[in-house]
Amino acid sequence: MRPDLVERAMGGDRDAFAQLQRRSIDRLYATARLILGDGDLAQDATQEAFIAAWRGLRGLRDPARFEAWLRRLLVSACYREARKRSRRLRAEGQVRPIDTESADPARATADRDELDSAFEALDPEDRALIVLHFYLGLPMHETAVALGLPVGTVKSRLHRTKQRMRATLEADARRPLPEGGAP
Amino acid sequence: MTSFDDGLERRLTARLDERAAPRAPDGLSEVITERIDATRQRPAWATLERWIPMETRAQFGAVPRAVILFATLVLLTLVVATAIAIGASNPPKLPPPFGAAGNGLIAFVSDGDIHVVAPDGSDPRPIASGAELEYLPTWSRDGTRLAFWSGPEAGPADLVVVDAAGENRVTVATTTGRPFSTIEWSADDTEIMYDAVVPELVPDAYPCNGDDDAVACGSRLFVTAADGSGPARQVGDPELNARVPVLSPDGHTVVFGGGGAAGGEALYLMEWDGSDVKRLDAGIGGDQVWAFSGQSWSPNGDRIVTHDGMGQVWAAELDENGALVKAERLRFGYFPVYSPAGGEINDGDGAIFADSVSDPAVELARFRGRWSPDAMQLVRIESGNLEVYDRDTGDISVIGTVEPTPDLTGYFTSERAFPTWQRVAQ
Repeated sequence: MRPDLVERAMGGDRDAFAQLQRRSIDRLYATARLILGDGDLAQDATQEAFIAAWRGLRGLRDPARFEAWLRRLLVSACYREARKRSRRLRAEGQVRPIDTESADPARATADRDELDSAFEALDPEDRALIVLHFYLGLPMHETAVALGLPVGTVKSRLHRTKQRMRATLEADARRPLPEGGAP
Repeated sequence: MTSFDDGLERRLTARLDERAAPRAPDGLSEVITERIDATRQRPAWATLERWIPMETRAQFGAVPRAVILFATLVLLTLVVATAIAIGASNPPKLPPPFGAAGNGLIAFVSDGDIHVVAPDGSDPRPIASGAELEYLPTWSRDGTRLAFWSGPEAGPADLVVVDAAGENRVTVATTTGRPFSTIEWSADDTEIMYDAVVPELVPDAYPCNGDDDAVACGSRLFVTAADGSGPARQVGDPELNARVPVLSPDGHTVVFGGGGAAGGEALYLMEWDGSDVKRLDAGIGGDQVWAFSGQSWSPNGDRIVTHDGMGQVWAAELDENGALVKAERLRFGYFPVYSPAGGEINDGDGAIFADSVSDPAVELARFRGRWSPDAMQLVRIESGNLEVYDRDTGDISVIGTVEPTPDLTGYFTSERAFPTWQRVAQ
């Protein structure tokens, strides 16, 4: 991210911020979509992250840290959207599964199904951890900053999360395949 | 240490890449831009990131919210307690009890109530009002309290003290007859001395003829606690008519006008507690009963100016022991008052003149008012206006209006409605 654009945006330059927005919106939206599993919620989270970034930009201490700061804002926005969805579903007396079909309607293999199931079984915090580390490829300390957690906590949580996913995958593997199902 | 590689991380990365949306939906960027156009940036200080970097916050991310909240409350409590302790150990700066000081609020009587206003005319407001007439507002020396009389102009009254906000009203004394003309705070503001007529002491002989409304007839001096904690006590010579006590700048000696009921009026000195009363035989004429009803100490305490009741202003010069060195007539006039900075005198005729016998007849300026604590201005009520006079430029500013008080429109009684100036630290 160009620090000069960040500095101009910090000074209130909306065009500069628009450029920053164009450069990062696809990646941010994709991240939110993976964490939330819902296109509409991801749009809302992305919007809120950018609005929060614009509002608080003057307080950013280091322009070079803009991208990390934006990720932190996005993760927080995703958590809020997830909580809102959870409250709404509880109020409606229903539990809606994560939007896997729309995420990948053409899933073809059982392996993918199982991997997706294991991922979708995670709570939003753990999904955020997985997405930041494995999708965005962030090193552990950057993942920790984005999640707002100490590195040690992130490491142990990642270990437990992977164990849970493995357990889910093993359980799925032991389950007999339905007749005519995929091999 | 090795770890079992089952390919989960590799598969997960590949699967997330597959599932990720290639780009944001159409229109999302425009929606965000529209919202940003309608959103103002917060100042830097209003952003948490400004004070605590996200890296630092992440270090505490695993601490339960309840713990953070509790720690924050403890910290806030400590900060508040520290602030209170610092505030208590550093009380507001107050002016010295005598001499020049900063200019605070102006208190004055309007329609029978006490009002205050800033010297520039801003923030006028009533500070004390009641069913009775309230008059002669007099600020304490440190400017934190205001004393005044509450009662009919010509009868017994309550001496009332309020704080500078008009709160905590306390009646500190009640007279049996008409208050005369002075409310004088002690050097440390813990006591107030005042003059008031005692009706049973008013002689039937001329010039009083039993009239307790007559000037200076049967008046005595009293001292009372300024917080109302004790009854007022009469001080000084019980046989002596006494009026207009004024405390010297050393905070010990009181000068007042006194005399017998049938004349022979003179200046007297005594200690604040009423002891050591002595007549100042200055050779100043003054057999009028209203002689010596206005006196003032020079800021260094070595001179007293007064008037003899026959239209002459006199100065009495004292040595360091308070003994009279000489007395000299300065000029025509009455009710002389020293400037807080010294050197100049303003009198009841409106003249401002030098404290000198070389040529005191020369008027430096003309404005009958009350000196500001910094000696640079005077204030008066004139034709329903509150006016401030600038001693340097001679400019007169109208800073407010005053509703007349019917009982205080006479020549002498108008003194009781006069504005007075709060002293504050410079």
